[in-house]
Amino acid sequence: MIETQTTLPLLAILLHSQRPLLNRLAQVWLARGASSFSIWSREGELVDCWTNPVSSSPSAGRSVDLSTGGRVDPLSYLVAPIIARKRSLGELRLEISKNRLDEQPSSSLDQLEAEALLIGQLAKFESELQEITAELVDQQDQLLALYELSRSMRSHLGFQETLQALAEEAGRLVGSQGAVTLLYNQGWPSQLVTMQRDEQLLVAGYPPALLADHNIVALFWKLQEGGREFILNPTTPEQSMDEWLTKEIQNLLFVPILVQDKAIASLVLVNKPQGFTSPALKLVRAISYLGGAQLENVMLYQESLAQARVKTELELAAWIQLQLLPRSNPLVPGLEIYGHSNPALQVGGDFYSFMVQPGRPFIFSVGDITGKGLPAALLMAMTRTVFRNAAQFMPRLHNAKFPTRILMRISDDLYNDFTQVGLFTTIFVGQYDPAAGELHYANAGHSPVIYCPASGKAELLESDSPPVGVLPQILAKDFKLKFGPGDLLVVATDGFSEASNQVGELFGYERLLEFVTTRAASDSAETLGKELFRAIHHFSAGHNQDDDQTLVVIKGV
Amino acid sequence: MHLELRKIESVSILELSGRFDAYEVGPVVEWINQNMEAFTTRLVINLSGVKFVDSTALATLVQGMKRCRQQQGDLHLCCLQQPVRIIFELTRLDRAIDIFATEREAVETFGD
Repeated sequence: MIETQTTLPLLAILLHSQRPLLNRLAQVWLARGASSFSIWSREGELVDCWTNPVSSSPSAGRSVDLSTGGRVDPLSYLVAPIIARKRSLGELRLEISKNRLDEQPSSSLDQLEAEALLIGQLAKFESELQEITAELVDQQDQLLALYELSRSMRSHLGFQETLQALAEEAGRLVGSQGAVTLLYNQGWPSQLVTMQRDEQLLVAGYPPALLADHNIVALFWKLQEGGREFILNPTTPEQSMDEWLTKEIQNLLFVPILVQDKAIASLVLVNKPQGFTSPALKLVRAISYLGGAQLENVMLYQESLAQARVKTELELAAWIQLQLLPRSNPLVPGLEIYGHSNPALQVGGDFYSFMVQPGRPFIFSVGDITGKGLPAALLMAMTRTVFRNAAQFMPRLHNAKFPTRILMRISDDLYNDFTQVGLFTTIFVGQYDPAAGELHYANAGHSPVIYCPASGKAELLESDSPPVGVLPQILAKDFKLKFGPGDLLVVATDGFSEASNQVGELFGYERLLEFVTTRAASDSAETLGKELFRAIHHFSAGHNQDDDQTLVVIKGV
Repeated sequence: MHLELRKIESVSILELSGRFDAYEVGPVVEWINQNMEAFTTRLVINLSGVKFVDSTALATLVQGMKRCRQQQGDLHLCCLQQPVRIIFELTRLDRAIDIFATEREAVETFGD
């Protein structure tokens, strides 16, 4: 302040704060016979004056040449310069009458100079105090501004609007004519960030002309790649001016923004009338820090939003898939029927379906699409639909056997689709003939299928054909089982045989066969089915279900 | 899952070892996508080091088989351990993909 402003305000402030001291100094001089004691500014203006009532007022304008060293005009004045921070603030003047001063002028001048020195020191302290106070006020203002900034940005939860708000607030706080924020897309899911100009960069800010200039944005992008702070004022010596200073950009401050510890965003301020100084840099650093924290919040919010969306869609898909499975076990004369499915994930690739139509045989199917989750679930829905269509519209021929024809129809309809996506499905199709007491079936790669005749042992029915979707043609043939009272068929998916326990041991075919043999005679279809689910659950206790588990149990009664 | 590739004349031999299931199938799928159409239509996959395959692994092998055949080539399997062989028998994939006891047979069956 001393260097840049007139000295008068500082001296005036000093007079105000140090009045008792100055009064005391003046009184001592006056008591010792001085006519007046006065303080003058560097510019030659009288700041204050203490006079002896019997003397006249000080004569303004009489200059004293200190450089002569002669302590000039000993008859009229003693003068001592007030120096603070090596610069003159003004001077102390003592008007004396030679006859009345009780000491030698030289010792009085020494004392006056000592007092001027003291006042200079006081002025220095006062000046420093003022600077510190001003800085504190500035910092308080900046803190308030940052508080306002964080408050206003918290209301934005999208990337584009957060970047825009950050640019606008930063520009307003720093006082620049333009402000731009950049965000680099690091392979975030597309649902989180919608890129506008290209795939890599999200840009926001003002004025529009700055953003519309691709060359300027490209230059900002170059700085972003550098990832370092960059100040460009017209006085900056080492920069290549041609590249940066254009008609649109007179000065510039670039600060990277860390998001999750990576410099993937930045804040650029353009054209600040006084140029970018150190305090502006500090403020912008603080703003960019806040901006980075807010961008992290936005990122977390958008991620949780995307997760919630996926979760909702999966729940909906699971509900739809549940609707595609039989809601109840059908009533077919001569049979007890039980069916149930537990997907390993929310949705799965297993299915079972029952077709009961008046005047037509009971036809059922169990299938297992390779893989798990949504891809398998989509193909499961298609396969089930094609099965039901095929079963529904088979011709009404007496004693006709449909299982192989249904498999062929499914294969014809879906082979190309399965090939396209690289999946296939096992399918077991059964048809009950109550008149003959027989069950006909065809099996494309499905296992385990277990048949247990009344008063017999359970046996595995092996498939004779690869799954649907493996070969363009179906190799399966129709097979026939005696199916009267007490005969039992269990069609499961490999989620049963391959269920594993904590030590990685599989449930396996032997356990399945033994379980069925033991219970076939005593259990109803439903009891046996539920107990089998319970046994698998018990076996794999503590181990996650790896695969979908689907079970159809049919028993002759 | 470990992959090792050899070539005997025009036949590529991919030897796999480790667990071959949905969690480990990635490298094999990647290899098929990158290499098969480029220079391989006669492929032998040696499963001697594979103890377990799940349905995703089977789907990957079937996909490889289809791609070879689309280009007048084929995919042969060899050296299946007992548990893996059982899975191929139960699903009857052994009727779709040719399986050989030794690598030599699997290679020689391609002829010239």
